[in-house]
This record gives sequence, C-alpha cells and structure tokens, in this order.
Amino acid sequence: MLGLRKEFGRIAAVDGIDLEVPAGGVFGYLGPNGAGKTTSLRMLLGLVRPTSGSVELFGQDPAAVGVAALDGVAGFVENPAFYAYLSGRRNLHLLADMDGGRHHDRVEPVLEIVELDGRGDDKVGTYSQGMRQRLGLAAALLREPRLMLLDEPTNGLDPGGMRDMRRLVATLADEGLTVLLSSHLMNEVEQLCSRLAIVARGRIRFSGTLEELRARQHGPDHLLRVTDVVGALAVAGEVPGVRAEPTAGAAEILVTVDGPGDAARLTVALGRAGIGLLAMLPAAPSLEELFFDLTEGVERRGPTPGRCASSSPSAAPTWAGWRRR
Amino acid sequence: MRKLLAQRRTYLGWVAATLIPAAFAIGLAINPPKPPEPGGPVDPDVYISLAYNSSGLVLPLIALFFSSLVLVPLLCALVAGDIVAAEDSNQTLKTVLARSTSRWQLLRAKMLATATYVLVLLVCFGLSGTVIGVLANGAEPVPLGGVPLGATGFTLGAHEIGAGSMLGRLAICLGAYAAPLLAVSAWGFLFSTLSRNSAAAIVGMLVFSFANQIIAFLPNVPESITRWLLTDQFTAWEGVLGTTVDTGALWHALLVSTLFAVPPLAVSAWWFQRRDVLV
Repeated sequence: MLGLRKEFGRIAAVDGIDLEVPAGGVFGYLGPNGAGKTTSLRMLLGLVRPTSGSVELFGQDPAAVGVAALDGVAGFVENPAFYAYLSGRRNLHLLADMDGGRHHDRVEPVLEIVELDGRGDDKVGTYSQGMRQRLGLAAALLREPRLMLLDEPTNGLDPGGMRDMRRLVATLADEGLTVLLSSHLMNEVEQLCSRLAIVARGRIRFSGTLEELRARQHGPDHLLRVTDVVGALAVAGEVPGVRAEPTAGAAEILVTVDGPGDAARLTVALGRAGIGLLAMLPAAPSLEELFFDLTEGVERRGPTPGRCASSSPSAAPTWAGWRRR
Repeated sequence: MRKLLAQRRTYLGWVAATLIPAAFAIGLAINPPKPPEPGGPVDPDVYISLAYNSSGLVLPLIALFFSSLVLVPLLCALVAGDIVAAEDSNQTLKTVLARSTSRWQLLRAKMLATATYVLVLLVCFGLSGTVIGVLANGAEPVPLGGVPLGATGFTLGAHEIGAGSMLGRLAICLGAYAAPLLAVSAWGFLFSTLSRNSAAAIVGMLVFSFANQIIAFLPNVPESITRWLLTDQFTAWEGVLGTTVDTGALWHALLVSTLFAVPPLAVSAWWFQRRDVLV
C-alpha cells in the first residue's frame, strides 16, 4: 500500500497508508473498530477504489489491471458470505467456476482442511457462524493463494472455534503461506504474528516486529512483592546495575535493571538479607497496553477490568492495575 | 444461471407462467366468450376470445392479452429486479468479486441469465397455453378477423389460420411480446443495480412497465408518440394474426425495444464497474 487514501464524503476512512507486507508468516494488521482496516483490505481486493495512492499485489495494482492482480491472492473481508440456498460444496464449485474452472479438484481437499467435509452437502443457510468462517477460509484456499487476506477471521466464534481457527492460520503460515491478518484482538495478533502494523484513524501508527513494539515502551523491568519493602529498597540500592523505587502505595517495588544477571543478583541479595520474595512479575508492557497508547494516544488512569481480562498471562490483573496507577 | 436454477423464486415464476393459461382456460370454460352486441365496436380481444370457441390454439393469446399488462411483467420483475440487488443484500458481491471473474463478466452473466429466465418464462407460458387449449378445445384451424353481421350476431371467419400455421404464429407472437418484455426487464435490471434493494427494484420495474402500457389508454396521445414508446410494442404481436403477418410492426417493435433496452444496460454496466463494494 502506497499513500493509500479513501474518502467517503468528507471522512477519510484510510488516510495515507504506506505498508509493505513481507513474504512468509502471519502479518498482523491491528486496529480498533473503524480504524480503516477493512477498507484497506477492500482496496487490496479491488472491491473499493482508492481516492488516491495505490495498492500492489505481487507488483500488480487491482485498480489498474482488475482481477488479474488477484492471481495468487485470496481472502475475505468482514464475515465471509455465501449463497445460503446452495450447499457448502456447491458454493465452492461455483467459486471454482469463477476462478476459471481451475480448482474444482481442490474442493474436497479444502473442505477436509477446514473440517467441513462431513457437512459439505448441507445448505450454507444451516451453517453456524463458525462453519461459515471456515468455509470462507476454504474458499480462499481453493485459489492456492500465496497471500491470504483475512479480516477478523475469529469474529463471532466461540473460544473453541477461535482456537481452531488460529491453529489453522498458524499451520497455513508454517506451510509457507503469507497471511495478512486484520484483527482488533491484541492477544490474537500476539499469538499468531511475528510482525504487525497498528492502524488507527486511517493511519499507520506502528509497523515492525513485536519486539520492536515493546522496545518503544521505556520503564521498569520488574515488579517485586516482598516481605519487607523498606529493607528490600535498601538491599536493591547496593546491587550494581539495579535501580529500585516503591510503587505509589509503597506496597511493592519497581525495579529497573541493566541486564538479566542484575535481576538474579538482586533476588540472591534479598534472600541473604532475609527478605522474602513473594512475587517477581515481568514489567514488560503487554501488547494491549502499547496498542492503547498508540491508538488512543492517552494515558489511562485507574484499572479497567475488561482490558485486564483480555491481557496476556504475563499481564495479570494486579500488574495491569499497577501500570495504570 | 446455476444460481438462478437453485432458487425457489425462479421456479415460482415459471410455474406461475405455466398456470396463467390454465386459469384462463378454467375461466373460459365457466363463462364461454359471447359475441358482442350487433353493430358495436369489436376489439381485438373479442376476436381472439371468440376464436377460442373454435380452436384451443388461441388460449395462449387470450392469456397473453389479459396478463401482459401486469402479471407477466411481475413474474419477470421477480428475477430482473432481484438479480443484482440480492448480491448486495446477501453480501455475496464481495465474495464473487474477489475471484478471477471481472465485474463486467459477472454483470454480463447476470444479464444473460435474466434474459434466459424471461424467455423460458414465455416458453412455459406458450407451451402450457397451447397444450391446455388443445386439450380443452382441440387444435382446429383458427378463424379470426370476423365481421359483425347485423341483427343475427357475429360471424367469425374473415380469414382462417391452419393449425400448423397457427403454432408458428403463436411462436412469433410470443417472440414479438418478448422484445418489449426484455426491454422493461432491462430497466428492472438497472433499478436492481442502482438501488441495491430487490423490493424497490421489483416495484420500480412494474411501475415502469405499467406506465409504458397505460399510455395507450390515455386520451389524445398521438400514435406518432406511442409508436416510439414501448406502449405500442407491447401490442405489436397482434399484427401477427392478420391475413398476413405484419412484419413491419414486428421489426419496429424490435427496434424500439432495443433502443429502450440498451441505455439501462449500459448505465448498469458503467455503474457496476465503478461502484465500491462496501457490504
């Protein structure tokens, strides 16, 4: 995507996006609802014409060359939709016809991959949301794509369905497929993607690896709960490479270290001083925290239970609560 | 076309087209056509209805005469008004346009599917009417163009069309009617493409068809105008029933219908090519 922009009336849904998706793996395209993710994907698939800027898929612009640019590309935007009065199998054969009749022999294998082979003859109108999502994936796989564009593929799925879908996406990426995964679920991107772009209000706010994203956040490395906060602060002050400060309520200690060995030396010193170490939590910010900082651009105050619930395991409620104090 | 064949409404239209002549056969059996009052005006429908007493071969034409205004266009509108809009309402447009089929190829296929549906509908209508008519009243030669004969009533037989020739003329009649029907279907197709709303497009097509035909019933509209509207083309098939077939009227109907059909199809194609698919 190069300078990609789409206006609807006076509103710019996509406001000058520059993004290159490297080959291989799952690339996360993360953003809150209304950030412009789906509109970007629609432009990639040639469903929406850009107001300005361009899109290139393996060197071809859909706006310029039409469907020829979609060779090697497949996917779906929002919820995949099919003809409810046709069976899943007939839907796939119909789509195979629309691909020039080249992929009829792939209908059975892809139904098997998404585990719909047993329900292939049932009308899509009888399918659950999860089955439709899987049929959407099957329809994309039918084209033997090199690049797959998936727009919130776990949308509307129950936890089991989400797990299965993510597992499937990961497997496809392991097999060499490049997946551009649009999502508003931070933990999903954290689980599946090695690289990501964060988009908000139609603009890219970050593009890079997860490590690069985390490196943007500077702050303490660990949160310590100890039996004696005052004593622990004194001990920490004597360990080289360690800086410690109490949290706002002076119930815990925030520790910044120069290297991993410094943290280990601190725990040994605390033990020698007879100070019990109750917990030592990594203070690396969760992707969710960084996501909010990038997309909302404001520092939130006070704990937000909903956000804690969707954090990664390392970001336990206590930790998230501390982060916001 | 495969999608059309998988939809109930397609068969509903064709079955309804098959049943229309049957309904007229029942109506005519209960209330047989009677000669008009001597000396009064004799309309074409009277000639055709009276001919049914002699031959069942005119049944499709009787049914066509009375259902061409609303009923048959309605059956056509079920598909013409729905075929593009349904892709929007079902959100399947994004699915099919992300394949290797271009927008123009997709729209062209839909145009051909609509035309095929309309023609098959007329074939169902014609075949059903002919079979039911023959079973009810036989396949005798058809007397047409009768002349009122004073106080004794009405005599048919100004000319007579043999059974074989009548079958050919039936086909030509339905073909002649197909031209304006396809033209209004093209407008239904346009409404379907622009409105993205099946119900609105179906009603729009019906209103357009009705408006075009109703002009014939308005006073003081000169023939020089109706001749270049679809109005006259809807009745051009009646020229097939004279002593000779009025080919001039048929070619004119084909020309005017084409002139009416091309612009909506062109606008549909232009619009469909450039529109954003947001559902």
